Amino acid sequence: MLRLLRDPLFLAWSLLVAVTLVSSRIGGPNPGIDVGSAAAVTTIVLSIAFAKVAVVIFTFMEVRGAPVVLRVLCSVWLFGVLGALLALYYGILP
Amino acid sequence: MEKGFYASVTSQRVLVWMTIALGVLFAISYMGLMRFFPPPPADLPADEVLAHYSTNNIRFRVGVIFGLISGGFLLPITVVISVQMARLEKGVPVWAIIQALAGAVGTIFIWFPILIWGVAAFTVERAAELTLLMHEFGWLLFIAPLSMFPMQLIGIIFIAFTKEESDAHSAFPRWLGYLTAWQLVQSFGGPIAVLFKTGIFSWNGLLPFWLPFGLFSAWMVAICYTLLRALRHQRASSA
Amino acid sequence: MSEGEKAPSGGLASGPDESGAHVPGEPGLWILLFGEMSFFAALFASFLYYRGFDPSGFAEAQKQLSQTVGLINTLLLLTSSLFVAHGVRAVRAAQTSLAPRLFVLGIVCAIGFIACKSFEYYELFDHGIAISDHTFYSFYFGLTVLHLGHVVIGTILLSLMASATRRPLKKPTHFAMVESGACFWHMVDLLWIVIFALLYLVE
Repeated sequence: MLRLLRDPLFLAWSLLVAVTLVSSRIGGPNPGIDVGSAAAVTTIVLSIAFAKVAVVIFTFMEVRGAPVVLRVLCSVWLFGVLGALLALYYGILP
Repeated sequence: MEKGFYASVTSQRVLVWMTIALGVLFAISYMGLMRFFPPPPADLPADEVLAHYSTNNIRFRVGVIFGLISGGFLLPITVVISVQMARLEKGVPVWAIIQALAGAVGTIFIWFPILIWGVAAFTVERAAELTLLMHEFGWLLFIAPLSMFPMQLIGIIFIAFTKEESDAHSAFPRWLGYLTAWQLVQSFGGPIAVLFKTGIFSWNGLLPFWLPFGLFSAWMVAICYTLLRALRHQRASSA
Repeated sequence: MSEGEKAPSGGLASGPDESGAHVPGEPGLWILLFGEMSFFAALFASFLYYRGFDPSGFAEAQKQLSQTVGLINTLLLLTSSLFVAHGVRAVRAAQTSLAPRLFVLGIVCAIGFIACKSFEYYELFDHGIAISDHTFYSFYFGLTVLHLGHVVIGTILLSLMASATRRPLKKPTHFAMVESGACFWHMVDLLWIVIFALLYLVE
C-alpha cells in the first residue's frame, strides 16, 4: 500500500481523478460548486482540462524525460491551444 | 530475388516523375477550368449550382477533359511503390499486391466524379434539380469514399515498421510509416461528409476536404522523395 | 546496418533516465501525435468560434447531454491510461505475464468507454435529437465520432501490444513500438479530456 502511494503514475492518476470530479461539479448545466459568472466557469474548467492534459503528457507519455525540444513543443501546444480557446471564448479573436 | 528481376531503376524513376502530370492536370482541370477550388458549399441551392455549370459551360467541359486524362497518372507511382514494397517482402508480396490493387481502384475516385460533373455540364437545359443531383453525386463520390485509400496505406505502414533495411536510404523510413499512419487515421474523416451540409464537417469543410487534401499532397511529396532517394541508392549499389 | 543497431542510449529497453535524452516512442511518432493534436486543436477552436455566434443556443443544447456518462467515460480513459503506463513499465522489466494483463485491463476500460458512448448515442436518438438540429450537435457528433474512431484504433493497437508482449521483446525497435502504441493511447485520453470540458462543462 505504501509502495502504491510512492508510485508517481498512481499519484498522477489520483490527482487526475480528483480534479476531474471537482471540475465536473463546477461546470455543466447543474453545477454543485458556484464560482460565479459563466466566464469564470469556462476559464476554470478549461484551465483544469489543460492542466490534466499536461499531467498526461509529462507523466504518462514520459515527456518529462524527453529531450528539451520535445518538452518545449508540448508546452507550446498546451499554452498555445489553451490561450487560443480562451481568446475565442472571450471574443478577442475574430 | 535474382538480379534484374525488378523493373530497371531508370524506368521506376520515370514512373515516379510522371506523378507531376497528375498534379498539373488536376490543377488545370479542377482549379483552373472547373473552378471547384475551394469547393462550392454543400448546401448551395439548385439554381446556383446550375449557374456554376451553365455560365462558362465550355470552359467547364474542357476542364472535364483535362480531369479525365489526369486520373490514370495515379497508377505509375502506385506501381513503383508496390515494386519497392515487394523488394522488402519475403515470399509472395501480399502487401505490395493489395497496395497496387487498391491504388488501381482508387484512380476511379479521381476520374469518375469528373465524368459525372461532365454529364451535368453536358446538358444544362435540364431542370435545376437534376443538375443538383449529378453535382452532389459527383462531390460525394469524390470526397466520401476516402476509406478506400486505407487499404493502400496499411501495407506501407507494415513494411515501414518491419523492414530489415536501414532507414537512411529506404523508400519506407520509419517516419514515413508514422506520416502514413496519420494519413490512414485521417482518411476515415471522408465518409463523415455524407452527414453534414454546413460547417467544418461538410464536403467543403476542414475535416473531409482541407485536411485530407493538404495531408495527401504532403504525403505524395514525401513518398516521391523517399522513392527517388531509394532508387538513387539502388542504382549506386548495383553499379 | 540493421534497425536494431541504432539503439537509443542505455541498452535494449531504454526508458526515461536522468540524461533526459529518451524520446517517448521514437522521433517519427511525434509527426503523428502533433499532427493529430493540432488537427483536434483546430476542431476545438472551430467549436468555440461557432459557439460565439449563439452562446445561449449552445448552452440550451448542452443540457440534453448526460454529464454523468461523460464523467464515467473520462474516468474510464484515465484508468486505462494508468494501466497502459504500468504495462510499458512491465514490458521494460521483462514481466511477460504482467504486461499483457495490464494491456488487457486497458482494453476492458476502452470497451467500457465504447459501450457508454453507444448508450449515450442511443439515448440521444431516442429523444429524437438529430445532427442537423443545432450546430452544437453537429460538433457533438462530429467530435465524438472522430474520437471514438481513435478509441477503436487505439484498442486494436492495445490488443496487438498485449499479444506481442507475451514473450520478451528482442529489438529496441520493438520497445519503441510498444511505447508508441502506449503514447497513442495516452493521446486518445488527453483529447477526450479536452472534449469533455468543451462539450459537457463549458458555460
